[in-house]
Amino acid sequence: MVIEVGRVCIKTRGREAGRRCVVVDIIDENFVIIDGDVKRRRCNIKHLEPLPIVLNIKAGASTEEVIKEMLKNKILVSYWKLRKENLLTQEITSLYKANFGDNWEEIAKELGYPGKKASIKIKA
Amino acid sequence: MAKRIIKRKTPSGRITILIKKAKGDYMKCSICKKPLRGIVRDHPRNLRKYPKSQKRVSRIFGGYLCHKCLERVLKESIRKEVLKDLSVNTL
Repeated sequence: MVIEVGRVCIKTRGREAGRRCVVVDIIDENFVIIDGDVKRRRCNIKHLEPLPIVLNIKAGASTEEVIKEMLKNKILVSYWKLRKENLLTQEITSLYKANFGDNWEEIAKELGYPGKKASIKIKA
Repeated sequence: MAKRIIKRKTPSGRITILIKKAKGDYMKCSICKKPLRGIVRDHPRNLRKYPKSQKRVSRIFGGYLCHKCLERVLKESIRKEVLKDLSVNTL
């Protein structure tokens, strides 16, 4: 099954097009709940393009868990998302530093916010 | 042409000349050349007077590509990257 809990996708439609997200829960055959570098929301699977990465998370995982797992798997999360969810804690910044080097803050800020900028590269 | 001349009859029967300025064209998608929605239509000389939110939509390449072309471009580039990635891993 391609669409499953933990699957990393890229959104292809709307304001958040081009941004990475993770499937957190499955509602029915058409809709899933996504989180990650986007606002946590319900989403039609037609708007998602799956990637060959599956994260090790439980169904209904919180935003913090999802972002930690994303950083461990070297998937970029924007500074916008971290600030929005009050996740600029020491634990997450140290994780970011370990996986992306000392200039992680520049990398995270370069991603912009929905509608402004997005990179299509899969690996950093 | 930037300006055009129109002849109009006034109520008194006199014929006067009106000079009208060109209206400007729709903004178009740079791939499929269809008009973009949600963007103000005016001559480029007047675009400066509109706020930024009326000159583009809040999407990447908003005001430059239409949503259909953007989706196709995104999917193509993602799949190309994925295939490149997979072939490197399997070899």
